[in-house]
Amino acid sequence: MDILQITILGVLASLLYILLKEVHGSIAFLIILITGIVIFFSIIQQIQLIFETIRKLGDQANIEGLYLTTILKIIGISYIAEIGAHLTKDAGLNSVSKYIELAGKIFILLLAVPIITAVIEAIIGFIPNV
Amino acid sequence: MRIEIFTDWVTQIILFIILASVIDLLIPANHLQKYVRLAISLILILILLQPVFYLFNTDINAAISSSMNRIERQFNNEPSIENQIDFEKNEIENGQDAYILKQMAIELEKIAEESLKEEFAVEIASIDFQFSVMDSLTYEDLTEVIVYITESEPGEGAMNTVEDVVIEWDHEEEEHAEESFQEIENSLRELWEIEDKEITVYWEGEGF
Amino acid sequence: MFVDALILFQIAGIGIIVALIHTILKQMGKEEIAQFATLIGFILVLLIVVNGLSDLFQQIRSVFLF
Repeated sequence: MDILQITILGVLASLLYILLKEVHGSIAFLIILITGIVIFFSIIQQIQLIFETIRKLGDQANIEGLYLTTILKIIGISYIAEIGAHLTKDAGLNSVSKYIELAGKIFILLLAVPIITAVIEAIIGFIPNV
Repeated sequence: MRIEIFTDWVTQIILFIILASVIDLLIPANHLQKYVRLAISLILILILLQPVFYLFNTDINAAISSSMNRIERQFNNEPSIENQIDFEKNEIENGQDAYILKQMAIELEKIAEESLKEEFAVEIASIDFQFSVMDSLTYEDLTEVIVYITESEPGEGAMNTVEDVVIEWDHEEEEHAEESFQEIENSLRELWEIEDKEITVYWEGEGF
Repeated sequence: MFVDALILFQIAGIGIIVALIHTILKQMGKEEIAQFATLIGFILVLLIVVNGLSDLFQQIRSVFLF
């Protein structure tokens, strides 16, 4: 019943946040932060399980390890960018969170670039043969 | 054989689509999703095109890994190639300069060795060159030659017994040193035929 | 999971205590010491949070194969 615990944790955190906001603003923000971290920590272990399954399936289907690694990296980047963007947004730095998202996009595209170039090069390679 | 490849291909496509839908659910829903979808669909295109690659005998994996390597190299080589070439050139030049200086020192030592041993009972430990302009090793820029000397080893028949010398050594050394340095400098200048440059002589280990 | 809830309470507790100390010191008229106490409390909490954050990122790194 992990989901119950996580929900209760969230509610608890919001209560504590309301309690602390009046007395001590910065520590109240840190409460938000640590709640996010704790919840994510419990999520990531489940994600690891899912990933192991994906990996196993991919191996069975003879999907190139390179593709799978690229996909996992892309997912990782999107998660990290998400966390960072939300944390900074909570702290009130909207523009910084936008920049973090931008960086996430760029890095995802950067991972996709080798695949694009490989496809284009292969297609160009066909042309004289035809 | 053929049919095996075909079934393999179909299973790959199906499994990949299933995986892709799972991953599509897995990623956080914001505008990053579009980009993730783009990358995944590109990989799907690659898998779909596999028979074509097989027909045309292109090694798509090699192409991908080579372009990946290229990008990684671009990342890691922050200082651009030009800078690197420059740097290497400088390094080589420095190495050559050091080699030339060393050769020159050895030559000079050889020339002076004999007469120094006979006249002053010393030998050259090492030679340093000072230039007025850094990095420009020309005779015009040479300002000073610093010579480090040591006593030549006994047993060559040049010296008398040790005890005799030691008695006078202490008090005589200072004046003796000053004078003999001057003399050594002069004779070195003659031997090496460098009239307009400074020659300085130090005992080994004394230095600056 | 229980440990994680503990962290939350810990931080909230530190926050409340620090606020208390702050008000008491202010009442006593020691403004600068009150500021100092607040700062120290904040740093303590920050330490906990940053530790958690580094753990989280480490975990992400290991899961997503960087």
